[in-house]
Amino acid sequence: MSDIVLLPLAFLLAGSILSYAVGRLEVLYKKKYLAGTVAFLFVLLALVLQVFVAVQVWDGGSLATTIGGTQLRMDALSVFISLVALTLGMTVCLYSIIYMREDAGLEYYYLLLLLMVAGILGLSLATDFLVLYLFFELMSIPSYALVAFRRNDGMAVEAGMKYIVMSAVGSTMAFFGISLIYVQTGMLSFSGLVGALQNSPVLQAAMLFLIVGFGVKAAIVPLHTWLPDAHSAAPSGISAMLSGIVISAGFFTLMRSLLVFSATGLPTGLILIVLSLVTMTVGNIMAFSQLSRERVDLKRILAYSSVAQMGYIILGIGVGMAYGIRTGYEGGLFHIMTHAFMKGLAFLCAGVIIHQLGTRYLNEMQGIGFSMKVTGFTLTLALLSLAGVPPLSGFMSEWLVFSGAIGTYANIGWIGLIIAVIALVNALISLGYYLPIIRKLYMSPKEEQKTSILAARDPHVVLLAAILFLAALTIILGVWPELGLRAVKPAVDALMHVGGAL
Amino acid sequence: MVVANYIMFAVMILFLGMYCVLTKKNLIKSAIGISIMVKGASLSFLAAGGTTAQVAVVLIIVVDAIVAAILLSLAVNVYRRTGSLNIEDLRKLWG
Amino acid sequence: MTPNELLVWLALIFPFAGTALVPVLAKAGTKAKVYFAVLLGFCTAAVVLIILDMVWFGASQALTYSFAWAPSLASSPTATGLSFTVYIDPLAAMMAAIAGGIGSLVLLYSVKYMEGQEGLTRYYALVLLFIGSMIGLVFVDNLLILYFFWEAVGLCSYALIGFYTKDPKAARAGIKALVITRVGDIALLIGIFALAAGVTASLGADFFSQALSIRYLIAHVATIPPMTLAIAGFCFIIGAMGKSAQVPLHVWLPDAMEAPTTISALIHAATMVNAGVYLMARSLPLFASVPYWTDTLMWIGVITAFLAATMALVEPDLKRVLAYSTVSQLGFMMFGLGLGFAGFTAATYHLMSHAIFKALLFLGAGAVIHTIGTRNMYEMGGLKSSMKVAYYTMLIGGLSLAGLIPLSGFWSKDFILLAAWETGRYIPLAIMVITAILTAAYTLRMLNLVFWGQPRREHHVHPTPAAMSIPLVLLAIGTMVAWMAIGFLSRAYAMFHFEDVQGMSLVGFIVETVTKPAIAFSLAALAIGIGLYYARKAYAANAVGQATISVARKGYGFDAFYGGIYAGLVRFGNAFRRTHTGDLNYNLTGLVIGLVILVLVLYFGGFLL
Repeated sequence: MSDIVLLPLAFLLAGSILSYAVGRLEVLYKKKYLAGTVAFLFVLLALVLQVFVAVQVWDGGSLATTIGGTQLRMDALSVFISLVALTLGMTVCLYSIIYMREDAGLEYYYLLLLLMVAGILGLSLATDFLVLYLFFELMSIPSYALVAFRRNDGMAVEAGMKYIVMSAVGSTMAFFGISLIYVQTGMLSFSGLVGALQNSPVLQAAMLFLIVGFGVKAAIVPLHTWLPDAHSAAPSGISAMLSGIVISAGFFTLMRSLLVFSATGLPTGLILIVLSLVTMTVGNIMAFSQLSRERVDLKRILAYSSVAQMGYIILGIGVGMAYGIRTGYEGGLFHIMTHAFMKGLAFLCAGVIIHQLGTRYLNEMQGIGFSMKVTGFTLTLALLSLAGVPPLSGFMSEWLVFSGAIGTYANIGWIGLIIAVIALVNALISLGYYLPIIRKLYMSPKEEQKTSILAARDPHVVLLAAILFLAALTIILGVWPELGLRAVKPAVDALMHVGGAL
Repeated sequence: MVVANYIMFAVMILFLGMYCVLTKKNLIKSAIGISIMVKGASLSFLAAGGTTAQVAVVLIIVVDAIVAAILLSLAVNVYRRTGSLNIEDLRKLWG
Repeated sequence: MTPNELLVWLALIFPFAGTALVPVLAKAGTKAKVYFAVLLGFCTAAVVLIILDMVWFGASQALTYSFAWAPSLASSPTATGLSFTVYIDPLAAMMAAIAGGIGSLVLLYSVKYMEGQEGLTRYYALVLLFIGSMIGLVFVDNLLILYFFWEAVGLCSYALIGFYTKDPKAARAGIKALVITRVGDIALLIGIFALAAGVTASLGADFFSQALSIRYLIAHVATIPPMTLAIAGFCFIIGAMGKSAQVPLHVWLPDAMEAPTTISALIHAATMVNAGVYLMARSLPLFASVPYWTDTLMWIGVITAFLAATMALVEPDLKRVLAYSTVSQLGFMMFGLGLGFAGFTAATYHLMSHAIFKALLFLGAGAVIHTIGTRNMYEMGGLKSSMKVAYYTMLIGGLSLAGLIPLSGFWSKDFILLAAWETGRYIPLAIMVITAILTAAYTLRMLNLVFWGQPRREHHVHPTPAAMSIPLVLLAIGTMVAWMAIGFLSRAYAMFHFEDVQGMSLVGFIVETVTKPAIAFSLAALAIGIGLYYARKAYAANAVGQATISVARKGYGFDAFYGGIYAGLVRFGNAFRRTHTGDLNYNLTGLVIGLVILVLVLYFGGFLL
């Protein structure tokens, strides 16, 4: 009985309530920074505790505790996603202290943000479908409110509307899928189900509903249409969280659910591979075609790029699930980590630029790299990393995914080669929209914007700290990927052993 | 009744709700559609019976309530801003 | 750690430490960071030259060291995960010496050439990163890490081509370079994975990390299924074509001339573009048995060399002439390698020789362009008396390129032609001789338009600073004496058991060259080329001549072709964008579509019950 696994979660929940309380008091005393600082400290503490737990799990195997009849278990896979979520969450909290200081209702912001991160931690702890669903919703519901946080912004409200409708429909379908499993077998716990499931029409229907249901959150095409709107209209810290970890957590949920099916002989991995190729391609083409609009929305390109990057993650995990190819799992998981940091970095930089210039359109940001030197440089780093250019972190994770994709050659012959070629051509197309953004940053400013662009300055030191932290992670994980792979290895070991990690 | 019949009804209600969300232009109707879907899913759970099913249903009722609350408050916001509840007027974000 | 091992790591640590420290030193002032960068460049050069000495003259086996870079990727307790393994044999040592040596000269030249420009921190940091990555590329034995450095040099190339950020042409050229080399990179990656898949298919997944080692692959080539080997071989060729600008992936190199001339000298003449040749040389033992592999390589070299030479003949921009010339000479090297092991020494020898004189030509061109302010050769002229150092050094470099005995360009080019003659490839040989003729012709054209005759444009001449003239003179001396290294090179190769490479001494080489028919071809090519140029008025004036010239000026349509692909992609993207209507009902229909797709997948997978 290791209650320690609950501590990070408890800290997050406590932190959310406390920052709400502090925030309320702040309003009375007209202060701005305390709620955020409290939130940041609690997430930091949760991260430290989580590292503690992580070391124990890596050395000794999973830790579990039972609350009221359900088991909450932290295994290597949970540890992995929790660490990434807490690191990104901590950075975004730090960023938001300054970035959101002019907004009203900050007490709700931090409450919701911490609840969202708590939800991610919770869903990694789950050992049965019901708890999984509970924490999945705990993650989703705050995200609905956070997208539409700026209630006066018409675009944010519209985006929030579309997001909540699609996501709620998806959740309900997933819930229906869970119910079908329950109808079929009478139980919901993962470990019990792995042995008990057998192929049947009801189970196939359940699988389909689960994929479509959780797939909405995981940004699988054609269920992704809420993403570009929500991620571009949300406040930039939230965009970073959404793109960086929430969609990965959505996929993580899907992965946990599908791992239960591993003994049934259903082609879960194959379905994931097919979906990943579609997702990658549509994401890249849509991102690429954003550049030919009259007004190019920077955050929208980044949002579509998230769809494409999810394609890589899903490809990696799908290849691992379908054929047991280790590098696929390694690539998929490592890409979850590197993508969280590089996409988070990209959104945070974009947020700073948008805030300084007052415009979200790339055409009006021409030449900003000269005035906002650090921001421009780190944004360039993030974009190059996303394109998979060494020596940045995106290279290693994408390389592992491609390696896994080609590894299918042993199982399915030349089709494996075609899968790899599609993935690689997608990497090529993605250059077509990352590089023009970098170029735009460093062109001569246009006449109309000259004054505003030249007047821009690198942002507040706290914002820079958050940005530089993620940039450092991106570089370090590129030059010394071992740092991240240390966390990936136990998780992949767990995935390869049982048909699931449970 | 046989469990299978319950499931059939549940599926029908689910798809009814989905039809509602898919085709209706009014935001409130979409919200109602989501709630209908939830009922369908709950029915499916209850068909199997047992305490877990009841826990699940209570869970999803709570979730649905919160989601509906947020959704409807957003709808009110949209209505106050644009005077219309038609989703075809919410087309500023596209492409 | 032995001193040798320390030296090897230092060769990498110096440049990479430089990259990290130059921005830090920038706070201390421009002079500090510039001199620091040059210092590190020379330290690197010193280390690689010591390594060269060790490997060519001292050791009887290659230097091999490794450390565990990513042990967590081990697939089982017995596997090793990813290791950073170096394997330094004469070829690697030579390429590293070129990178370090010419790199240090370019850094020295840059002190004066780039003086006063903005973004110098970025410049020096990137140049050092580049030198380190290039050395890393040739040192490592592990294909993944080779690919890592392969892409890293591509990144440096992109960033340095687009160095003049305010110039839209430069930025576009940088993107074009990265995208086109990426096409090659993708093929290379597929090739690498194909090899690894082949090995693991026969031997098991535990061998994955070993399957990435070039040494291992060459030793165990029999374990790779022939089909996989063939796929990998041709993918490697495409990869090399991208980096070494072979037709049809050559279009990025002429545009890359927007880079500062020092970068053109370092990256696009002496080092990065040679990475493709290096890759082919390294993988020759691996793929030589694949049917048509060497033939493909040879014909790609032939076609590229010929077409590029014709384009160089009509190009008005001085740097672009040199760029096309580089493409053409790289074609010579590919041709040499395509002759099999018979041409191995010749091709790699030409690599070294070309690096020296092409870097020289570029650096000289840099001085000229800087003085006269234009890159258009039709506006230059008569500089021979006003820019003496540049003139004489470029004259030597140009004559080396054209193949005048006894400069190193003659010996190396002749050696390739000799190898072709010996292996009986007479038709390709004939085309290459014609290319040699064209080479002489365009070189003469360049020298004539730039230095001889009457000045066509006003210019202010300042004396060439020492920092610029020293590298020029050193490189000129280099091209005059480098041919003497052939004895050491071939003996080193033979000692390292490169199959079928016979060691020969310098005297033996001279005798061999002079007594074989190939020398006649080389000298005749030079003479005819000179004559061709002086007779140009006769044939260029007529309609056919004019038509050919205009087609060649447009690059035979390759650029237009790629532009068309890009435009097509843009149009497709725009049409596709209409599917994202923004209407919530449509969005939700996506859910239903998703469900339908999945049902179809299950159905066609035969799973549907």
